[in-house]
Amino acid sequence: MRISDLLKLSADNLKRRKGRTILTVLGVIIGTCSIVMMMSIGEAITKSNEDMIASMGDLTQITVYNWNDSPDQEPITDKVIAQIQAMENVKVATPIYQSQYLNTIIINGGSSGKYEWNGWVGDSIVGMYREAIDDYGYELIDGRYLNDSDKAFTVIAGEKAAYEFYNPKRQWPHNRVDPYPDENGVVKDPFVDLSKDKLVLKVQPMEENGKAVERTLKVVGTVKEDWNKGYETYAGFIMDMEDLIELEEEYIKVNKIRVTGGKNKERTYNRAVVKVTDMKYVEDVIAAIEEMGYNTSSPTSWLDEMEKQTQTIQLILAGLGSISLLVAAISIANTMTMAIYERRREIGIMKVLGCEIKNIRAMFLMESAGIGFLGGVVGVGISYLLSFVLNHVATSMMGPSYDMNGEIMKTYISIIPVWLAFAGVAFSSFIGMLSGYVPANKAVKISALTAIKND
Amino acid sequence: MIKVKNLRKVYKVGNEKVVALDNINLEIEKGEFCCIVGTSGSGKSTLLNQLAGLEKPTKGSVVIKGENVSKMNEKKLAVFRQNNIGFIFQSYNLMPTMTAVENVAFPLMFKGVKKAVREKKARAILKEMQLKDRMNHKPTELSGGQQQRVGIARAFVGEPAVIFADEPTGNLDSRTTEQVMDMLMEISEKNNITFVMVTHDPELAKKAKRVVTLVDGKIIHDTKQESEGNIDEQKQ
Ligand SMILES: Nc1ncnc2c1ncn2[C@@H]1O[C@H](COP(=O)(O)OP(=O)(O)OP(=O)(O)O)[C@@H](O)[C@H]1O
Ligand SMILES: [Mg+2]
Repeated sequence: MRISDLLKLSADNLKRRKGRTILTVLGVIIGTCSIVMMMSIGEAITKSNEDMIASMGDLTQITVYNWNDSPDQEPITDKVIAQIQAMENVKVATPIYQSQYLNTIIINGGSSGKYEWNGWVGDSIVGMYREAIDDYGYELIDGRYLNDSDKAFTVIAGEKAAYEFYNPKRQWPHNRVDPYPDENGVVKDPFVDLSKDKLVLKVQPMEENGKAVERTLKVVGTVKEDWNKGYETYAGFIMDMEDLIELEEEYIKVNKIRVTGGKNKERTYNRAVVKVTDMKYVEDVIAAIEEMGYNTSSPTSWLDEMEKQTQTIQLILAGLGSISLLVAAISIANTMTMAIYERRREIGIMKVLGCEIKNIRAMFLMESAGIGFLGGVVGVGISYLLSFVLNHVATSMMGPSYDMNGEIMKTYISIIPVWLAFAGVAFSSFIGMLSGYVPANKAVKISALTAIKND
Repeated sequence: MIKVKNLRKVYKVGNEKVVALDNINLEIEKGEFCCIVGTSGSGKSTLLNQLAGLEKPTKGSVVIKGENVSKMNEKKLAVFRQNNIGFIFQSYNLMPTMTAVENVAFPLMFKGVKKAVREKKARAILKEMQLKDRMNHKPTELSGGQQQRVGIARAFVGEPAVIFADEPTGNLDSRTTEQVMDMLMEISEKNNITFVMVTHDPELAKKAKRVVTLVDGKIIHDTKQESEGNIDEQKQ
């Protein structure tokens, strides 16, 4: 028998008892709706968790650290970082240079170095491998990244770094320029022009009679403010780690500081960052790094914890939803049993005319699956509508909230991803078929003689 | 074409045994038009059902076209019916939701024949049966005689080797009965189809060349009419 004929027979039979079909489908609609809605609430919770975590940092980033607080911890060396860099799915790995010898850094800028910028190495002045700056994911809004031919102390500035220069001779708030638009919507120019003015970086001596060390900076690019990365993207500077090391060595030399461990000791780092190509690999990379004996931290480790909790919630919600689908399944089974009882004679006739029992079974399974499918499609449709209304009401009740870029954020109570819509339809069709299984097998046992008997 | 050997059918009702058929031996040749007659309860329908494989006998065998129908499983039997057997019911048994054309084409659907092909064939047969202007009518919109003609067309559509009919004229008036009977004989002769029909009307049976008479589940007469007036009677 052709599938098209089977389908048509089933569809005609469903149409024949419209009222009953519609009532049964209604049950499935309610069942599908409750499951999909419950799942969608879980999805919304997951999304809000993800958003929250994302606001805490870059989800593809792992920090590896060694604060020398435990003697049996392996030091982070260039070799170790090269090893991590070689791992699968690692985009880039680089140390973030920290220095125990360098004090406050002052940068003088503007005409005759009148304006000042203050910061620290490892925080507002970030030193990393020159070639890693690009891959690390800093987003350029002006200029370029560093290249091999750049001289020492060529740097990249954070988006608002120019505004961080202040006039030490004046009182607050007149000593600064606000980077944001004033009431007339005008953004004032900062005191210094990073691309033109002379910038002198100076290491403040720790002791009173210590000697300062100075270097001239050249800014070649500006990166976008990105709090997933850090303060340096806002008002700091990013530069080649080797320049900072050279600066540190010079400072140690001129101030005659005694360094423990000697000169030829292998370089070790307190902190390194690893950027993974995709969020889904973060877990594997973390596991591999910890296998090597290092501590790591990553925003995704929070995410895991939260996801586990959300999954439990989602499971409970889906369980609640499936109760109504169970009721719908019972009603499908009931409808099919009734339909088969009514059509005993027809089944008998079909058998006498040579219809194989597998086709009779298929016909009834298609009918019950059809009820499930119809209910699923309409149920998912209604779920989308409900979800839209819920989110709309929630957003207007919570009042407008804004994200970091000042755009209005919607409050989501329910999110129905495409997979959930498809899964909803597939699941309800499957439930329909399952409910029809026992009745359909009863149908095939009806004797051909039923057609002959006159009753 | 059909060979029945030592066929016995016993029904158990509670503790009682009802012997519906008792040691039936019968041979029907290809193209033969055979009537089974007998009083009510004599076992006519039971015999026909065993022949068509609708019921398994208690003992004995039914062989059609060299195949033992009584031993076939349901799947084999279904395919065998598709290809070799047509059936005409007393109460027509048309599918109530289908039109005349769809009803006639129905058995071909089980064989996997395309809709266009099978309905073309169904139309041709219906035309032959003078139902040209009733093609798209549902059974409830047809008279008893018309419904039975649709039923007959349905039995013939698959070009079966054998057609079984259980009192095909049982629900019709005498004039229509006559018409239907003539039609059945004509088509089966034309197509060389073996026809086995149950009736309790001896007058009607006289039209057939072969008449098998049952009493209490046994064949008591088996008459073969070679030609008009020449009656060859066998007593068992
Ligand atoms: N399913 C059954 N269970 C028990 N007994 C049965 C069954 N079917 C038939 N019988 C019995 O078998 C005998 C033959 O019945 P059958 O239906 O073959 O008679 P029939 O010759 O077709 O009669 P009618 O002309 O009234 O249709 C009857 O005594 C009947 O009671
Ligand atoms: Mg009978």
